[in-house]
Amino acid sequence: MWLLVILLALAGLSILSYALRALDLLGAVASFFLGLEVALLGGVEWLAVMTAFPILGVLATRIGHGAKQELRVAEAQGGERGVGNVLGNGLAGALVALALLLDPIVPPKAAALAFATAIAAVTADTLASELGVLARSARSILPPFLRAAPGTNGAVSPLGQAAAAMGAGVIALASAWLLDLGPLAWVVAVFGFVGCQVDSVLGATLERDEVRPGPLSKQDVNFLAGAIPAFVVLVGATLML
Amino acid sequence: MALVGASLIAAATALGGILVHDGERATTPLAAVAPGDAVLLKGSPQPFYPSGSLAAWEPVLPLLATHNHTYLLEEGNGPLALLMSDTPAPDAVVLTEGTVTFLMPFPDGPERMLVVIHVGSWRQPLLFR
Repeated sequence: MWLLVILLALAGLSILSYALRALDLLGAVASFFLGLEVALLGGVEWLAVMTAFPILGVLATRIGHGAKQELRVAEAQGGERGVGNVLGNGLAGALVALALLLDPIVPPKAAALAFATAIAAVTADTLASELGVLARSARSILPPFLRAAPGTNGAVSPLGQAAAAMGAGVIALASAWLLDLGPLAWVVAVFGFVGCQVDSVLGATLERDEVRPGPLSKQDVNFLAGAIPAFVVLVGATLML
Repeated sequence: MALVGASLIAAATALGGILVHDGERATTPLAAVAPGDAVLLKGSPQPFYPSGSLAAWEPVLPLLATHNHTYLLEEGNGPLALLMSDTPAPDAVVLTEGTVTFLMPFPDGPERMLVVIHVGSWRQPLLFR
């Protein structure tokens, strides 16, 4: 019966995302299957933590959408995201969920910590991107920290950093409750925030954009921003728990 | 379409709530409990009558004297639950919430464990009996 709950919830979320134009058709389908994998492995609680990311992301996308359009930094298609966005943001968490199959070599709590970290990192990055672009000024994350236009790859602002911290914090709180992480949730908050910084560093160095070639696409960077801190937490928690 | 999506989410939430209420999330495995643990069990408790020599039940006799209603709950060949309550159990499949007070070999079959549980509440499932 719980499988029916999962299927109903995922179908509802996917349809709602498509209907509200938060995701295009392929993005909605991809989110359904990613969510199904996470739910089958981790349960409804893991799915709930994962769901917090698109909810916060959609809210952040809607904030100041008009201003973002004027700045020409809004997502194409009215903020609608596609399969690339879904995989870039969700694949790291989905891959970490596979670590549950390695129990008892990888303790389930270590997998839960790493999973929540992956979600926190992409949430922090999304909120930092969507809200940081509205900042009045920004600087490059790399020395010599030159001034940069808000929204530029690798540029950070106090507003963006605050949004990142808030995003990571919300996921940490949710996972403390839903994944029974308790006090260990600080790991999720800290490494989730670090993941956002990883995204900025990669954005400043390896991500290709309109003005600079590079080996990584935006979605590659998003994936790595979630995967790198999640992997660090997974290894560390496995050794220490 | 948004309405369809919202309806499906609402249906999932409602069904999930019923399943939680009905104890469809795995009940506590008795083989792994210790005194002081909170437990949730689902089944049909049967009135308990100590069989054989009362001496074999000596560790629990004082507990039997303090509770008016005592039941046995058996699940397969695993540990048996001896439920002690101040209130009678409904005559149906119930969800028993309680606290483990004592563990001992089952006097009628020492290869099985007897888990003595002080019942906090009885709850009847809404749908999934």
